[in-house]
Amino acid sequence: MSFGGIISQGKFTQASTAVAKFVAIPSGVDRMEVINYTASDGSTSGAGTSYLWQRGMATDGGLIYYHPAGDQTLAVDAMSSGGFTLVDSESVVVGAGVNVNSITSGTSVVLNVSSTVGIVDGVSVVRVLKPSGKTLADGEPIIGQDFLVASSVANTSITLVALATDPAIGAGTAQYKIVYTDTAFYPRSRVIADITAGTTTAVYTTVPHGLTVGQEIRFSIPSTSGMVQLNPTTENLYLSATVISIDSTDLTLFTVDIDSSSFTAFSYPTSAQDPFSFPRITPIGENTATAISNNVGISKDAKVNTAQLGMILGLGSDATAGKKGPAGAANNVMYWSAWKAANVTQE
Amino acid sequence: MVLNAFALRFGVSLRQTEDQLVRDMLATTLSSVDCTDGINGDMPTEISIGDVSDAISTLVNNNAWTIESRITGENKFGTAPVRDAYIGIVNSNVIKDLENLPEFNPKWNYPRDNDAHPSEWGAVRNLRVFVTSIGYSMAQASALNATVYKMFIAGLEAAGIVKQAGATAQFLYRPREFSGALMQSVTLGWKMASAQVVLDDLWVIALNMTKKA
Repeated sequence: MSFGGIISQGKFTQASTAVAKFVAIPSGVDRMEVINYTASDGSTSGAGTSYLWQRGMATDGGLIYYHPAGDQTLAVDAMSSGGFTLVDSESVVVGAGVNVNSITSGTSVVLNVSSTVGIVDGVSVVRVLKPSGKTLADGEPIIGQDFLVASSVANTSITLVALATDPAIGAGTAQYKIVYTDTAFYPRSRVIADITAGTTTAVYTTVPHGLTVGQEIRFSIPSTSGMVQLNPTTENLYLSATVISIDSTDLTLFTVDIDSSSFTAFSYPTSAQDPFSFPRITPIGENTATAISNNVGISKDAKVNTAQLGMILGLGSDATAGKKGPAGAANNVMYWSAWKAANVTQE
Repeated sequence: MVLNAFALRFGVSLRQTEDQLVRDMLATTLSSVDCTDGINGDMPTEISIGDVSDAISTLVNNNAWTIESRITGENKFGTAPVRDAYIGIVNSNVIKDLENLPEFNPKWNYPRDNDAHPSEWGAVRNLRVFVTSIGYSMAQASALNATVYKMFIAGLEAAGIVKQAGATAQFLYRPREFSGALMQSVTLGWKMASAQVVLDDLWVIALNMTKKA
């Protein structure tokens, strides 16, 4: 780039529960400044007032300016985590690994942890991993998979979205990482967590599905998971299903127009079934009649590249406890500006 | 001279970006099946002949047409005929596992050199496999925390690119006269718009696999 200066700026207000904030900056960024207008105007001891990041600083780092006492004096500190993370969401962006001390198995799997920084119930998606040094048995059917966080207890436990059956996770330690961005293209294939049979069929995915009413899907269910009658075959004329409703509160739940009353019960994979293939749904098109009758656009099935360049503003870390991160605290009003340099040198 | 050299490199960059966009679209939106017949103890396992056969059977059952015609046998030492085949594209990191597949026929054993494509590695049953260093992979995504690779196995006209009027690839060059009074820098680049689509989801499968070792 042969120009320099501010290329973009904006404002956002944090929700009543603060979450890490992704700011899209399509042309890239060399320097970013965030002002916490609420905290700057206040005099809360430890409150962060402004944040600065410049290309070359460590990932998830940056500088924080804050009130060191209950007045409006300022001090500065370096953030080791919970700061600025430059991302290209063409690749799925995940956070740092956090230790899982043990796992309580059940239809609702519970990760017993010591830190839940950045976890927001019903919003955060976590990926469970087993890096070297962790003792969880091989082949557990939650490793490498993404799950929506159903609920959490601060710095104690994280409960994942409910599964059809207990995956029988054994004893051992693991790690989780917060998943900040989704795969690049929409609509997305998803892993199935549960299926409730009936005259219409309710499908639960492990992460928010993102589908809309009218979209057509097909199922891919291995024999180990039951309900293979949903799979497309020559006998059922390559069965596909139309999404007829989306749950407004449970973002993992949708209903399709298939009568599955007499089908085999669905089950989630267990470690005893290893190796297995995960049950999945795949969006394949649009039932335009259903979409129109529900006032939904008829091109919702179009393949759209949702990848963006941008910056993740973190929530701070234990090292900056009370000072928060550049995403601010609950209900804070935040102003940001992104800069581009004519030249960048780093020695 | 320098401009021409840059144009050549930009051409590679542009086409490779197009490939990556199609790759990412397929990876995200396709139905995928995990390899389960391998023996590495991971989930998914490494690719095995059973997984290849299952994928081929699925495509045949779904009435997908093969892309490549058969290569008839010839009386040449060490060669073998090649069946009409679907196309599989996968990351080059799994080459060792491909070559360990029983019945794998490397392209240098095809009866005629001209019938093999530059990036092709070989054939197994009704599948001809192409490898690339930018084949799709997901780090730390298997049950043993290993990288998972996706092989896209496609029949004829399973996926395509929609060309958009007025949005074809453009090479851009802005001379130094436009950079300021001192005329110190020029601008070189390319831009394009691209739309990818799966034409029939039944005719293409993503086969998830890990490496054996």
